Amino acid sequence: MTRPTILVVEDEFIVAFELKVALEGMGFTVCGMVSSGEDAIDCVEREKPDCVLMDVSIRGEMDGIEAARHIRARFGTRTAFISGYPVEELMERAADVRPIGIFVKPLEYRELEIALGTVLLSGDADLN
Amino acid sequence: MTESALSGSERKLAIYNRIADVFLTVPDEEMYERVLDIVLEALDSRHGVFGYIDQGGSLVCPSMTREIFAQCRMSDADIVFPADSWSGIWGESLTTKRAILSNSSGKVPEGHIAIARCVFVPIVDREELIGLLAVANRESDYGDADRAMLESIARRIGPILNARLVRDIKEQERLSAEAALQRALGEKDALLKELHHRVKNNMAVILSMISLQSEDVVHQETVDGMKKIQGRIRAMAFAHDQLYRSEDFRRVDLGDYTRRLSDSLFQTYSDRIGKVDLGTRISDVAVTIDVAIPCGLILNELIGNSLEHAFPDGARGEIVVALELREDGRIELAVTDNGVGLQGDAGTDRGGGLGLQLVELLAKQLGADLEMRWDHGADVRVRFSPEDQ
Repeated sequence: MTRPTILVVEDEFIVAFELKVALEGMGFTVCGMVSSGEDAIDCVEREKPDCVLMDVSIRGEMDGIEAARHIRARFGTRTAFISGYPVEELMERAADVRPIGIFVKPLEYRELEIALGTVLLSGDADLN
Repeated sequence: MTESALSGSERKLAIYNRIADVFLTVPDEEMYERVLDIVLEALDSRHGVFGYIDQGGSLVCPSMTREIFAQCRMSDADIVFPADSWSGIWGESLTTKRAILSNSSGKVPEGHIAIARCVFVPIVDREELIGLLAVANRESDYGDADRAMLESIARRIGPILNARLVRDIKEQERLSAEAALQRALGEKDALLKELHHRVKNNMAVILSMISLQSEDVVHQETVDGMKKIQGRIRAMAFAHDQLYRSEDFRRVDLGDYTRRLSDSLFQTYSDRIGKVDLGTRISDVAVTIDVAIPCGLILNELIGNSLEHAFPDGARGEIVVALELREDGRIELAVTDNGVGLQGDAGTDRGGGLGLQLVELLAKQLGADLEMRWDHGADVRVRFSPEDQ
């Protein structure tokens, strides 16, 4: 089977690059790295990734949750959030986006790998 | 002194006392009206005005609100009269600071209640115009005695009204200073929060750079060393995160921090260890970041040490992390396990190594007593007073 593809949305470019290396080490393909919600929407339309890994605070007019909402409404693609903010707060705000998960920085890769693997390798990322 | 003169002066005294009492006990919104009521009663008049000069020099008449406004039909009826709008007898009285008595109907604006007879007396304190007291529309003409009476009431009112106005101005200044202070505090909090967020992000970038660098490293020993450094930075980043989430940016919830750090370490080692359980006994303790970071780094070393060495070859066991606020006010951090202790190959690492050196250094930094035993598994305790920092 082909490697699942992931779009990384993160405005610290070094952190984004490290994420890409780590995700590729886990067996995923990173199809793009962008730093704003607007670019994320364009990239999902173009690349059709299996899922989006999105920082909540990003560049541009919309935050990560709004961007994820647009992406899910237009393309049905689901998002896993990474954030420096308290998870409890985000869970409430992001509930309607049905995120794959919310991962707090600094990231635990093991946790991320298990969550992404469960969703992507079982092929139900598109299920709404 | 005749009997009528005596009763007259007693009457005056009673009026002064009643007015003084109102000034002392009644809040601003009612005070003017209550004083005016007393004056109207004393001079047997139907209408009147009691007002003060505000900071902008306008005459403000809070006392007009009830009696006169109910009857007044002027469209621009207001209780504030800027100095350039002063006119007629009352305006003359204010600008000349002289009492004026009139027993003939004066000209009034359309809709204003008719003024048949009136006495206007400016209220002056230390040469300065501070208010106006007026009565109008008695059944009979006003005389010099009435004017004298009103003037004497105005003289009595002068200093206490002035004191009250000064107090109100000071109160206003205090309130606006307080509001400015609140704003400044809010801005400071926002800046601090922003700063903690920045520190946290910077640490995330540092972690990423180390992680990327270790991709190119071939020696396993070096990779392990870099992982250890990442663990230490991560422990520090967690403390800043904890601070950023906290309501009070000066205190870190050490219990929450300890729990999170322990969970995170177990996660990190989860692919290397067998069935090792994490037990926690954690009480609520809040400390400054200066205390939290050494505590976090100590926990990082001790828990990491137990995970790495206490249970070789997939052995089962338990690591217990305890945080206790003791009755003597000291904090005790303890990491214990039921692993192999100092036996076997673990011994070499557990006796020396940078990890335990760091623990000793950080314990010193905290002014802590450090107890380490490895008779039956590990038992390491750090006790310190949070105030020593």
